[in-house]
Amino acid sequence: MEALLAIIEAGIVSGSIYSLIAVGMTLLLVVADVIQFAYGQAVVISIFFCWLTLHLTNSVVLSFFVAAVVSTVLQFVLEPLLRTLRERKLVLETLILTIAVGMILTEAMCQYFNAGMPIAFPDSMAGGGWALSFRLIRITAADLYVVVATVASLAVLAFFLFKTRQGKTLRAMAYNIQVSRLLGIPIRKCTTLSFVVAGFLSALTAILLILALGAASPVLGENLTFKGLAVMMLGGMGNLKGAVLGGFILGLIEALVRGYLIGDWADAVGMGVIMFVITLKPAGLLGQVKQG
Amino acid sequence: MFSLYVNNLLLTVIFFILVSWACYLPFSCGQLYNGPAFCAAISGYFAAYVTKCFHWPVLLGFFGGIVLAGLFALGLSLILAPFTGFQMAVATMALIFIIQTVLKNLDFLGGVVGMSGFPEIKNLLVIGLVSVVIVLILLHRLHNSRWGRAMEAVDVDSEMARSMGIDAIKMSIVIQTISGTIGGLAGGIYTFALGTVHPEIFGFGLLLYTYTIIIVGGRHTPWGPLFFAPILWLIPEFVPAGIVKYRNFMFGAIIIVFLLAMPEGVITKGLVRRIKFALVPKKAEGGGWVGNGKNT
Amino acid sequence: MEQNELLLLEIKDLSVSYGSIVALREVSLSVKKGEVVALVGANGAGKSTMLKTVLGLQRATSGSIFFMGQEITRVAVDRIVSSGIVLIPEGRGIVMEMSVIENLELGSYHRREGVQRRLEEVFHQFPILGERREQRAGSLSGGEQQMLAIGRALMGDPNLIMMDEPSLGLAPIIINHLYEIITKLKDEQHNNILLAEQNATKALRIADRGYVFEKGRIVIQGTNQELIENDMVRQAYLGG
Repeated sequence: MEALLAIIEAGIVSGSIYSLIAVGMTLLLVVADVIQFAYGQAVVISIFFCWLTLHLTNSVVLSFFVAAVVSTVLQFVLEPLLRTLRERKLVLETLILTIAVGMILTEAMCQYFNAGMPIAFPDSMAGGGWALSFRLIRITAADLYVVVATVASLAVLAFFLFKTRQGKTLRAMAYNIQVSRLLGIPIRKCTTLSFVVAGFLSALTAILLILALGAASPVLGENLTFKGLAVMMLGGMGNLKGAVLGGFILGLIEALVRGYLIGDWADAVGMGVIMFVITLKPAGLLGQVKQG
Repeated sequence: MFSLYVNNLLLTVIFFILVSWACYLPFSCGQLYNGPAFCAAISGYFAAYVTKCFHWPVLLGFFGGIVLAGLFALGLSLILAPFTGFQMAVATMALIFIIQTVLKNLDFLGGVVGMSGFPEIKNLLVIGLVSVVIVLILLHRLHNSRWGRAMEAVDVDSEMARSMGIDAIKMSIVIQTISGTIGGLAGGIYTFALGTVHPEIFGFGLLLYTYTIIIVGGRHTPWGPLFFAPILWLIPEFVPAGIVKYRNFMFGAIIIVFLLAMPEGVITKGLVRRIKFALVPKKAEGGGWVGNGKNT
Repeated sequence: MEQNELLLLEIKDLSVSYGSIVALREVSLSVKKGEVVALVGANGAGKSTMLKTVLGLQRATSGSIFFMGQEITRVAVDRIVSSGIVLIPEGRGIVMEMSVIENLELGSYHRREGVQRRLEEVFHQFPILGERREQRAGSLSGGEQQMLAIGRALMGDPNLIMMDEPSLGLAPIIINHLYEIITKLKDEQHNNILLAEQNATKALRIADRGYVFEKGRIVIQGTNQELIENDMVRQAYLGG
């Protein structure tokens, strides 16, 4: 029984990260009409920059700050690149562009940071030291930070989208871009805004990953992007609630597989389950909001 | 006939041409379908396994692999038919990943290390060259047929194409099956060319090359990948070692630059038309080319 | 010069093409302050294109558009809307997934002062919207959606309200109600309205002046009285 609870706890923690990533990607999809194949890579490369800063300056605060800034900037900088293709309605090309950017970022991580070896952070930055233990169940400080921060940021995002003027504008754009244009909503400015919000989410994800994992490898970025996409499909493309739900479901599935199956099957089983669900219900669990 | 080095080089180029064509085909109807990568893996692994462990005749194993890959693509296409563009791209990428993981975890297929020690195919180069010619003819015929035009319509605006009565689902199934089969063909050739097969070969690195070849070479015609697969593969072979390390970077950067500046690639539809017109100007007699002054 | 100051909207020799299809050919028209102007004509005659081009949704090939003395011919949509022109498009253009009140709030994107006051005014004028304020806009009937669209337009405190086929798809009884509302907007609130309608009878009755469109050109123009009495107009558009 405790093994199961420990597994559920781990699932919730990783599920939080997946939810954050999927929500960031969903936001970009519904407002800017973009699938960001480089999202995870942007998050992880900022973790690498954080590590680099730590080694150059030994300042924890500065390192976290760098992670946040790099992350936000990377998401935001892609907007003008994508805008030209989007306005010419070149859908496939937009996909390939973000895929290419993702591959470049992964390559950069493989070549330039620590000679492509995984990096690790000192305990002071990962886990924070203390932990609650009850037999097999171990809740570290990092776990708590991750879950609390995720819930808090999702709440803030919900408030932004449903209770503020700018947020409602973004939702209107997501639902009906033609009507939004006709109402005089400045489409370009608002699209940029959505990239900035995605950037903030990305920065938060980077910091939480440092706390939760204490380490990163060059392929982590691709891995996260992938899972983000899978979660989006599971919950329903463009469906924010679906992204959150899907993220936690994936986290739990992976934790269960890791707990009960020998071999490195967690990722593949998670993907497999999602693909299976999609086959039965192509629109995802909670239904799609955006036609792909 | 050729030295081993040249032989392998040619076979590698043939592999890239075929794999690029396999991806180019669904591109032409607006789909990002990564089937060729895992179909190549399926074909290669099958052939390697049956010829090594069950002592099948080499050619039987080779063709068996291709058939298997084709059937897999067919079955998959039936499932993927209702998927939208994004879902298709992601699902097929996920499949590459899933199949790689499965292969890495199956010990009888060699796990992470893969397999080697299976028999060779003599005259593999001949098979390769013949394949290229056959596929080229197939693609050319397709491109210039009613199907080809329907595919273009779906590529430009799938909603409008559907409202014009084009059956996008049937198209998707047929194109993906063909694409998977060509991918299987490429995989079989490459596996026997290398003499070994392991999970990493048919992964995301392959995708990067393929996309670069298609985007740079020319996304709307089969001539694009044909000419640019060799160019993009051979350049790193002849470039100083220091720069080769940056190959993936450069390919990624090249894709981005081309997408922003020249999304149609080097060999565009217009270029092909102009070259054809220059080479074959006198089709008037009985052929009905209006306007070149030779019509009576 | 004084003539210009009274002209709210002035369009000179406007031409618009979609590729090789010419939608508008050198059209000139004007709207004076305090007027209701009707554009009538068959489907595809160019009325919709006219309104969309004024708003900036469609690019003019040649010609010019002046609003309150300023040229707005190739200005971006958001700046045109913020200068006080709103369009209620064909089909109402409601965001179905959002609530009634959220839709209304969208209308005030460019006029952020006094939003609460204007909301109350809209609810006062259209009580049904007030009753259904939290409901999903998609659950409203056609007539109610039309009222929502008008309410949203009013939220922007506009200087010019353009309506594209407001009676399309509505039952006759609702259309009557709709035109009562438009009449009230004109008489009580002194809104300037530019109205494109296939239903010429209704439109000309409440308008001060009208223009008849055919195949992208204006073929007849005049006061509503002149148009109603014109034989050709009567035969083609008013049912004899």
